[in-house]
Amino acid sequence: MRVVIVGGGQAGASVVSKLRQLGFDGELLMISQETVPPYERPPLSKKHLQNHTAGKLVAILPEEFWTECRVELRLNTRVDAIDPEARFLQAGKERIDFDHLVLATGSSARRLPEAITNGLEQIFHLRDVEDANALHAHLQPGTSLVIVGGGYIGMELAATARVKGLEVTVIERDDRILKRVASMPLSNEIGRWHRDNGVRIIECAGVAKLSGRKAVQNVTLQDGTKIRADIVVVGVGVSPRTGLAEAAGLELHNGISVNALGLTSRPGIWAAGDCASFEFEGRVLRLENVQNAIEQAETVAENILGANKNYRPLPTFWSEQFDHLVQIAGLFHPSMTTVNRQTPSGTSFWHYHDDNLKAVEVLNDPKAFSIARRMLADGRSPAADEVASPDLNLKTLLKTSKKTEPV
Amino acid sequence: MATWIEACAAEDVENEDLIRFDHNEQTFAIYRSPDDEYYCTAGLCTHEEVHLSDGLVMGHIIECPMHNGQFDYRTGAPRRSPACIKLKIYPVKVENGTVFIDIGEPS
Ligand SMILES: Cc1cc2nc3c(=O)[nH]c(=O)nc-3n(C[C@H](O)[C@H](O)[C@H](O)COP(=O)(O)OP(=O)(O)OC[C@H]3O[C@@H](n4cnc5c(N)ncnc54)[C@H](O)[C@@H]3O)c2cc1C
Ligand code: FES
Repeated sequence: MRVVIVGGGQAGASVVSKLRQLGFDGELLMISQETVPPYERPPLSKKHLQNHTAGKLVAILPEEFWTECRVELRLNTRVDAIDPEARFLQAGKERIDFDHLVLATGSSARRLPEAITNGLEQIFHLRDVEDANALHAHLQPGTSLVIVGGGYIGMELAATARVKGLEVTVIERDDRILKRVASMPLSNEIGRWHRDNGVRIIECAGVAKLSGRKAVQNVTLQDGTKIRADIVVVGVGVSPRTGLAEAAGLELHNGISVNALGLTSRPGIWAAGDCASFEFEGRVLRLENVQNAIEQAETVAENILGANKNYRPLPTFWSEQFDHLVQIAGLFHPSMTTVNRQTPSGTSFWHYHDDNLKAVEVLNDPKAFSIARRMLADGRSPAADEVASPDLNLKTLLKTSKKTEPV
Repeated sequence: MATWIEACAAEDVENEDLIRFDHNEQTFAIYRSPDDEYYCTAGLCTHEEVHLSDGLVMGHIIECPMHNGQFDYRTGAPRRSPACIKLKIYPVKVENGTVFIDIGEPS
């Protein structure tokens, strides 16, 4: 049996390592258009950019994995088409047959329309090592950096650049940064760290146009405000890479549609990670985080071998900004009620739907996060007044709190 | 060569829990399993040097507080991604209610 993986990111790496760990003995081939074996992307906006030691990426799998585990890794290779009937891929002139195919094509950074960017230079994105290297060269003290988009990548980059001495402005279209991915109290707290460190945040502001001679010099907002910029980074979210799947006639729904097993609308063709969307608790989700890339991909590996296992995500995310650590588990929704927990070791926000704990956001308190995440995984809902009490040892609630449906 | 040092009192570690123990620039994690056995591993996760003492012990597994990688603390073997490199482990003995670890020959 031959399993082929398209994409050399976290999801692809997790599929191949899990297959071998489960004793799969057939042929394994991974095809990636990148120049290096799978590496961790999160450090690209954090440590990697801060103390840039060129080429020192964090590899997801140890160097010897590929030979020891007999996985053929083909880098610098783009898959151009899939034939789901005849079961082969086209990569340039080459035809590659498969028994099972895993699409782990990830996502790409969204761009601003050409009508806004005007083909100017010094406009960057941050998705892969090439982007990070290009951007790094410009992170010099005194440089004016304008970041379009106050999502996690934008805010992490803002912190990294500010520490490096740049003048940083973040432009956010919504009425608060991180609106799509954080509760209001968390957005406020993160915004405060940035303002305290001298980052300028402009909310409710759309970008009208970028201007300059050859390189960008100014960013003009819709209300006419003009901001000087030596470089601009666009952090307005990502789009799933669905082109291959679409051309092959697979079902899409804001991503490549998969069922709970990770199977697409075609037998033997699977998808996992940033590119895949699935129904969960009545919502169609497409998660963009490492935990999902790992666990969905591992479930796919098990199911290729016939486990018939449903994927139940517990979305988990972390972010590092200045000296702060943010950790999030579960899926927050603005309709939830929030309980604050404030202890000497850190702050956390516990979000409930009725009496059921659904999501927790933790600042600088990894121990509380470990416990909160476990509660969500076990479907435990501690009483709100207990959570709010700073004297209570959270760990005791792990065994005693009410058990509902796991998140 | 064996180098036994005193780490903590046995009762300092709760059942199914761990504590951090620092000694000469080195940091360790001391575990007490659900069946009241004691174990010791290096104190930092092999993924990104985070203190495991903030993590959660479940049975014989320690879950890292940062990205939820898991290890079997009896053997140091990684049990869940992103943890993929083994943790160092150290011999442990308990004498008269005191936990000693041998930092001479980790494995
Ligand atoms: C700067 C940054 C910071 C982040 N920080 C965090 C964080 O703190 N925490 C967190 O949980 N997540 C974070 N993320 C998100 C996380 O990195 C992604 O969710 C994860 O990488 C998804 O893995 P994936 O394998 O699905 O996709 P990707 O990592 O995008 O990998 C897809 C791979 O497929 C290749 N590919 C696509 N199409 C083809 C083709 N046709 N032929 C060949 N190869 C192809 C791509 O080049 C790429 O190598 C961050 C992402 C970025 C960019
Ligand atoms: S630091 Fe432990 S899993 Fe990442």
